[in-house]
Amino acid sequence: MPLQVITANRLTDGAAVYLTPSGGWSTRVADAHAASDPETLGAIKARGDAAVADRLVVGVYAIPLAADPAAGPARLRERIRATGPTVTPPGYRAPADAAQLGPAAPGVRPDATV
Amino acid sequence: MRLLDLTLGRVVEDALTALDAAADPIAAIGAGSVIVPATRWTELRDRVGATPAGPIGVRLGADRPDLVDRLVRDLDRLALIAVVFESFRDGRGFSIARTLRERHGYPGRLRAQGWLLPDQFRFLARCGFDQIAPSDPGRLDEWRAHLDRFSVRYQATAADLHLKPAGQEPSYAI
Amino acid sequence: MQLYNYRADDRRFLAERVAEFRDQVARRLSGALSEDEFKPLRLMNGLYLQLHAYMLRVAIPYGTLASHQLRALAEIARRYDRGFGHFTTRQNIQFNWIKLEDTPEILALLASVDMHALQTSGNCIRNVTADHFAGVAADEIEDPRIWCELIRQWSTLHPEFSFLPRKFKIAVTGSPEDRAAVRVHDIGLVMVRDDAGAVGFEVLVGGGQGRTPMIASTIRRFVPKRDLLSYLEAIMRVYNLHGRRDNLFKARIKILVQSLGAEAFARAVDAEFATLQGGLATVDEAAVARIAADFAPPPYRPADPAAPEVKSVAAVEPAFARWTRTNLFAHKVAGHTAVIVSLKPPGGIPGDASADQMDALADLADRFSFGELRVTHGQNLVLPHVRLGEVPELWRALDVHGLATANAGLISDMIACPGLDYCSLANTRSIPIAQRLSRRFSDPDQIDRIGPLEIKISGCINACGHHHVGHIGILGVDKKGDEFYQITLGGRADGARSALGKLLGPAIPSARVIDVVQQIIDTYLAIRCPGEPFADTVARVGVGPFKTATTQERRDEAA
Repeated sequence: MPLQVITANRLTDGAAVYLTPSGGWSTRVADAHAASDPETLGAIKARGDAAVADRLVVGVYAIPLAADPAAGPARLRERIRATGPTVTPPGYRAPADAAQLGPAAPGVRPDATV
Repeated sequence: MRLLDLTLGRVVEDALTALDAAADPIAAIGAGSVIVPATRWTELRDRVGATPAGPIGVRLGADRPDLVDRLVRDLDRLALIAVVFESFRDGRGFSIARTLRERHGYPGRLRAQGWLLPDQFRFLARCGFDQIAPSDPGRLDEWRAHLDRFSVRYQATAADLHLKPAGQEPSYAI
Repeated sequence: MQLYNYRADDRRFLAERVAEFRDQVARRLSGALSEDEFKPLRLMNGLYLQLHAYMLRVAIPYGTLASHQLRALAEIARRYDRGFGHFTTRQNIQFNWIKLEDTPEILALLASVDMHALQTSGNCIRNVTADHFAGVAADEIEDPRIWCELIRQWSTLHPEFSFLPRKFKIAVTGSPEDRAAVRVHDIGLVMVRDDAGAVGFEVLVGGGQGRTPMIASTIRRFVPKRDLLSYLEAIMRVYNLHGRRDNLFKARIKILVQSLGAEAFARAVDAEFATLQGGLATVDEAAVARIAADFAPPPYRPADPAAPEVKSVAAVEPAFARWTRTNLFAHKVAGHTAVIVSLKPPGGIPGDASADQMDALADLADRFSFGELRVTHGQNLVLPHVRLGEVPELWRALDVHGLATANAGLISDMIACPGLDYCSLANTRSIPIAQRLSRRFSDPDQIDRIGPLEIKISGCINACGHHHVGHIGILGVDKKGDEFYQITLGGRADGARSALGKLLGPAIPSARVIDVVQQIIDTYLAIRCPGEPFADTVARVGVGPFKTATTQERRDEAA
């Protein structure tokens, strides 16, 4: 059973966020509460759904991590969502807030063949 | 149910009652002050006497524009037509309203009911609805603010020509 | 400059709309509106939730932009986003890292320059697009933007048509040569003359791309101007009432037209039109005249069509000479040209411009083009009113900012949707494909030799990259978690010759795409008749020779 984490988008800024063991939301997948047994996952997801009702996040769902969890999410789409676009637009300027990832961010490269 | 009556300019209680599933529809029609499903109108219309005891209404889903044809020859006998929005996204109700008002000249009360957002109230009124009954009556609270949100419009419907407060002429004014 | 001048009413309307959206955001944050309820409302204000953040799509009506408006877009890019914007295939601009709570302020900033994000998304009538050479093309019957503006107003917060089965896209061409791709729109309008010489509209319905691409059918050969809006209302009412609402992928008007047949659909519209003709939507000539006055030609000064400055600079600077051959459009006023500003530099992201580039272009528009720019549906920009004699100076200034790539209409002038790098709908990335292709095909002599060729890349079946009408179309598909691409040939969106591309073969992995495109090009160069452009060669020989050339390698590998 692969490890899964719960993810959503933050309501205020739409950032991809991951539910942490303490029940908070982090923009880093590495901080997420990972589980593989259905019961624990169910409990984590329920906390995620509660956050929707509390108007913190929208669109809660579970995603599998890669076979080596240190590589982040299994699917390309989720890897890009976690680390930002794989391209650098003209004039791109990252915000001061380092937690907001974007192109050329250090960390997991979703596709080495680009 | 509570509803906004635009002609009266305030929130009132419904004067009519929806036909009870268990009740005898013929008797109900005879007594009047009842809303029957439009799907049953063809079978019931002959039972409506020359002078009904009370107002008769019909109800159709926004997803049944085809039922309008069944009502067209009896529009002067219908005190109320209620269009039910099962989803606020079902925009057919707006075309049903304009067709009834502008093509067929329906003179009675036209009610929008169901899952409706206050943000739609102005569209509903402009299409010719003069009663709005959202399933969540709490949504009626700020109705005037929503209706008065815009002083400019870019189209003219028949209802626009009569709505208070008077809207601006569209930029491409006739 | 030719721009619709907002009157006091229009400005008050925008202010009221901003106030409404501010209230909607507040009610979302307070919980008075659920996300289900808020979503269509925010979409009607152009606000998407994408992979990384909210994306705001700002309307650029019929692709016409004033310099001060472009400066406002640059300010939004700097202040509220990450320093750049992306111009789209519907002549709009997108910003990718918008915060919900900033949106009312951004809309207020836009309103201060008579701009908005109204109806750039959602199940309503979207930006009405036009020929990007409107007003300056010699073959134009009339400037279509006058009618685009009329339709824009009529469709803005239309009480009957704001909750359609699906999105609705209208395009208008004022020329017999269709530079607005009208045949792949829900409604395409072609300005035509009747036998008496009066100008009216040929109306086409049911074109579109996506999952089920179709070319539009003509349902009426001539609609007089005064009946235009009444006739459009008739079409919209038939669609609103009878378009499918049970299946997202079958909800566009093209499905309805196909299921009824164009004939029966036309009759249904006629029946509705009979009740509307002469009614409330009848077009008022005085209102049209007011709009038309805003699109009067700018005060052109006499200019020498021989343009000795151009010739003398071209003689000594080959790069300039090449650029004048590719990026200048023949203008209807002698001694002038419309300059195509390429947003497709080698290895660049199609359609992206930095805030600095936007500011530079705004200044150049003021200096050289009466303060006016256009956005093309091919993700480039245009300076539409340039004196030929000033072209060398303009070119140097563009070059300084990386905006002078000489590739208009050539192989490296690609269309690419944002794809999986940004978009939550995508299966694969499209931008890296465009970048790799543009690096492979960057040698100016090479791309000149290849000639006109339109590559269009979509990251998913929604076809925002218009791949169905690419001469070479590339569609990203997800195959067991890997990025694969289907290649089509022979698509085109040029008027009566419009056609959808045909599949070349099974999907290929990302690593092979560039080589396969190279094989297609090599085949074309080998079999073309002298001077025959790529699209015509494909039309003449079909997909066969290209299939053979591109599968050969696989057979060799297997051997």
